Amino acid sequence: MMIHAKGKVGADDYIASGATEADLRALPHIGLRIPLVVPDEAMIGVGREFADLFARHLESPRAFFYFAFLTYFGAAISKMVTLDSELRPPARLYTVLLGESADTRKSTALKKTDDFFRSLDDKWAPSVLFGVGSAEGIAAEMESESSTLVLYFDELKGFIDKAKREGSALMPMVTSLFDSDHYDNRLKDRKIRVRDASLSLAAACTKDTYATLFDTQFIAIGFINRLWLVADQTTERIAIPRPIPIGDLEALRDRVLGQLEAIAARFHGANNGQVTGRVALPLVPQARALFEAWYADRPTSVFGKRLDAYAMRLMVLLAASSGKAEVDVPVMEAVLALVNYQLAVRQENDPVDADSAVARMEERIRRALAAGPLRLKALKRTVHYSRHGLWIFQTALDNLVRAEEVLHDRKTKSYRAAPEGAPT
Amino acid sequence: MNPHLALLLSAAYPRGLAPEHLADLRKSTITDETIRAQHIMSVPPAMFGRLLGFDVPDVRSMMLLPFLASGAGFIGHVRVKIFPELKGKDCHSTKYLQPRGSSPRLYFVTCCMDSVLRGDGPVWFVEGEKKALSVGQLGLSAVGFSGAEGWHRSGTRTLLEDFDAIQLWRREAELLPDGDVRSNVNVADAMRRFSAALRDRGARPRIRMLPERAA
Repeated sequence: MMIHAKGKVGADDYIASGATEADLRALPHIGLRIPLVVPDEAMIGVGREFADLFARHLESPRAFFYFAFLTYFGAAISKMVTLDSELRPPARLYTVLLGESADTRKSTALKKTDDFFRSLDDKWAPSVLFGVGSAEGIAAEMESESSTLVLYFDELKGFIDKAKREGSALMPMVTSLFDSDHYDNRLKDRKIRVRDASLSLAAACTKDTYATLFDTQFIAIGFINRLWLVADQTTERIAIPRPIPIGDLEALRDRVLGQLEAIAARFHGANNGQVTGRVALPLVPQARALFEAWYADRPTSVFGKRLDAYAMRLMVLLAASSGKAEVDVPVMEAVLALVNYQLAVRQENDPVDADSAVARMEERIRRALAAGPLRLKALKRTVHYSRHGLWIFQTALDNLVRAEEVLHDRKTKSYRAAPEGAPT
Repeated sequence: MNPHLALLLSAAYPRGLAPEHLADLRKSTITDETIRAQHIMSVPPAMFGRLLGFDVPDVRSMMLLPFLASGAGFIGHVRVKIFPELKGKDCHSTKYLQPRGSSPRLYFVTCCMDSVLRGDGPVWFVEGEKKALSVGQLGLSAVGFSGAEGWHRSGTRTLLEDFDAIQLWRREAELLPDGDVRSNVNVADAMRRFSAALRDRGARPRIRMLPERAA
């Protein structure tokens, strides 16, 4: 399409060159670094009630509470309920709360959620492993305590660093147990054997750490696309949080317990107490049609991997946490809003796969400028230059300018990505 | 409303367009039907200063783009395209003028006003009045804003009152700035702030990128 215009191109120039309504709709869009937040309408059910109550009293973003809750709730019900599909997806999540910095109160959200579930009836108290060093450790915990386990990491880096150790079976095991309920690994001197497992993950990480945490083996094995990332920001400033009123907390406990007991009653058979197998939640036809439309047009990029699997898990989780016996249209709309949000979060937080610190910084600068031009100060802030050192930042920026990948506007003291096709 | 503007917009005034203005509109793909519906017209030279409140000796001709009210009729906002464009000392060119101190307003497009105000499909916020018309003619719900900072009053970062008439809650808002959003840090910053203001009102903004340069 040839566009004839003097200077900058406007919508009318584009249309005059023959662009149609469909062309306009297909124009690329960029976030321009608008903070990503979980769509409000995607937070439903008792998870939303939990998030609303805790976010009113604490600084952690509502979305952190919401997904921490769903992770624990999913762990509690994963052996009792599934989707009416041959795939039989479990309601388990591998959740990572991503914050801009330590100030995002990620750990608070995890801790408060853990406390809340422990305060429920003993029957529903989760089996949680706070940090683990090996696949054998997980297997032993599942054997001695419970095969339903939540791995809890205040800092995901702790887990990843252990998984990176040569010969460690930790990463293959955790990766495998995302999709499966069993795992075998025969080593020369020992054998790891896990059956009927239900593993969930609740972890926190800063965006900066997350971006440089993984090496090639994590990407190759598909560990990263098994994570459900939650990015949000703290907007509240509460110097000394007041205690959550006991009455509100007890009412919420009753609501959550009521839903868990209702699911358990269906699982055990309402009348005779016999185990009837996982309850399969059906989809109403309109909800199925909505998902089929999304699926037909689903993103095929690397960022879209396993979004459909997560959509199915969320169908179960959101329906169950809303006290519904089927996946209806409101549940499906919330699910689709969440997977679309997840796609955006993954795109924005794609881990950098580069060997040297300068190369990693170059990639961070490229990504920052892909979202529009930035003044030097804003660019430095966006790439968190102070954590890496001025020399690394300046060297990386100079490299990019020299290679003409980045252009410097002296007048506005800003930097921008060179247009596609520019000489390099 | 400025009485001179009221006269131009009255049924009694025989609207016309100079060939230069018609050619400019055609370049932007604006049809006769849209020109009529939006009451776009050439301004008699005697009214230049009276409309703007200041003299513009270097302006040869002037085209008025009346602003529709979100209810019915027009608002008293004056914005004109001038010919030739004026060049400042820093080579910055001025194509549009409005009375000094007047705040920007949203430019509604007749053919899609209803879907903009009351629809729930995506609403397209287009930088520039003629560009909004051009987008609206394609069947999209378009509304124009006058320049990258034309969505707020000077000194604030909240949306203009005109946005109150638009259903924004949970609605997709497509921002369509000029192509220099890719290269001009001031435009990019303005769009970031515009997006944040829309998000604060419950909308779901996205910034669409036109090609940066002409072929």
